[in-house]
Amino acid sequence: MTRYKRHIALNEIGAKGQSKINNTSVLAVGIGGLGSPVIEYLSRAGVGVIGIIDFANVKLSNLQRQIIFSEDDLNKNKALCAQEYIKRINSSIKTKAYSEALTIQNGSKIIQQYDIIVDGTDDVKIRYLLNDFCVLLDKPLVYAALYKFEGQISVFNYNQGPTYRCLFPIIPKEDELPNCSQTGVLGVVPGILGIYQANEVLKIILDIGDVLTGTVLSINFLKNIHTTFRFSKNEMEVNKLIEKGVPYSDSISLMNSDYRISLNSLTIDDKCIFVDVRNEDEEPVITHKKIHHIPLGKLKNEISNIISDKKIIFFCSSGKRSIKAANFTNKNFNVQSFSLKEGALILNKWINE
Amino acid sequence: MDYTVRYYGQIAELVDSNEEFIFSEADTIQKFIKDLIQIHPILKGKTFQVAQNNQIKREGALIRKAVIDLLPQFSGG
Repeated sequence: MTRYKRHIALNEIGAKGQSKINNTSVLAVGIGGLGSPVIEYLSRAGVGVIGIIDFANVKLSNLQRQIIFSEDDLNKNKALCAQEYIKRINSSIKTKAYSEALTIQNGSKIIQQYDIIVDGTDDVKIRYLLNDFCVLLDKPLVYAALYKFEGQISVFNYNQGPTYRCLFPIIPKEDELPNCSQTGVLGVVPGILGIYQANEVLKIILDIGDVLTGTVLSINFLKNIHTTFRFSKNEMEVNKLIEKGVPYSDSISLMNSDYRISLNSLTIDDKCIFVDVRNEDEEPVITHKKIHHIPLGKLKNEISNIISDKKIIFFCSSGKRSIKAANFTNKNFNVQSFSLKEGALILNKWINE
Repeated sequence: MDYTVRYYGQIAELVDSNEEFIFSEADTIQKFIKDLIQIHPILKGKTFQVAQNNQIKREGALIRKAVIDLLPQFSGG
């Protein structure tokens, strides 16, 4: 307990509180700018079990803000690197790394193993998926999200309190929500927000202070303005979800979004293959040792020829055929497959660069 | 009646302001948002939440002299 002496010295924690921390399990979904400080502080605090889920590999552009990674981690899976990092900080913590995307298929199985879930994702559609799983499995969800120099923090479904759908019942259109790779981000912004998330996690474990339930804290880091907004539980939204018993969507694209991947999260050295599902006469013709060509109409008969332990990334011109290919493959084969968000034109440029 | 309206994230960028005073004779939040969209047509069709005196509420009576906030969802992480 020497490691935690400064915790134990606090009347609000003591040996009993520290024991609660040591006996809690937390799942961090997404190890980016938010997830990194969450893991840093929770592992130092002694959280007993930390699960880490992220399918992406560490890229050079991540190191500006994702504080648990270093140059030695480049091109390695983030979840596996995070697991090693936690072991170096605190070897008494049990860790489990999931080097895969959170999907409608695996979500329930993974999330049900943990007491508290932390949202470190950068995709609103995945946030809805995560919210729905947390409601259905009765887990508190510690949320943060950012836009340039502003951030939001809240805790959803805490003691069956208000949820993400209660705060944001309307799913915005795709083009309304640029992510950090499109808009840019000052490294410290997710850093501060992630620390707020870690703080909420510890408050939940210790049952101290005012947890941000039914409240969203909005911070403008340029102006140092902190504003809180209260919101109520939308019983109709929550009941609709509980009655369905599975995460639901107002659009097909939401359910498919978990299979989509962007070139921003890939490097050419990743353990993956690209499969062109366009017809043979479509341009541009892209040739590379990692690219296979199976038109969508022939996929059912020919896919087994390319199945291996490598991730499969389907692409076409607009993403419509490739998402069908990814859905089919994920449903029928034990392999991770994705649809490339960018089309053939951009992929061609990316490969040549 | 003048109302203080505060904007956040992408919405602040669209209207090119973090805060402004808006005159409106609306008696409900929905009518107030309609007036606001007339002043800033760029907000038409955009998704955001509305808070009145720091309470998120899309519908109901407009409180005189309330502070109105327009919060969009953020996706970054």
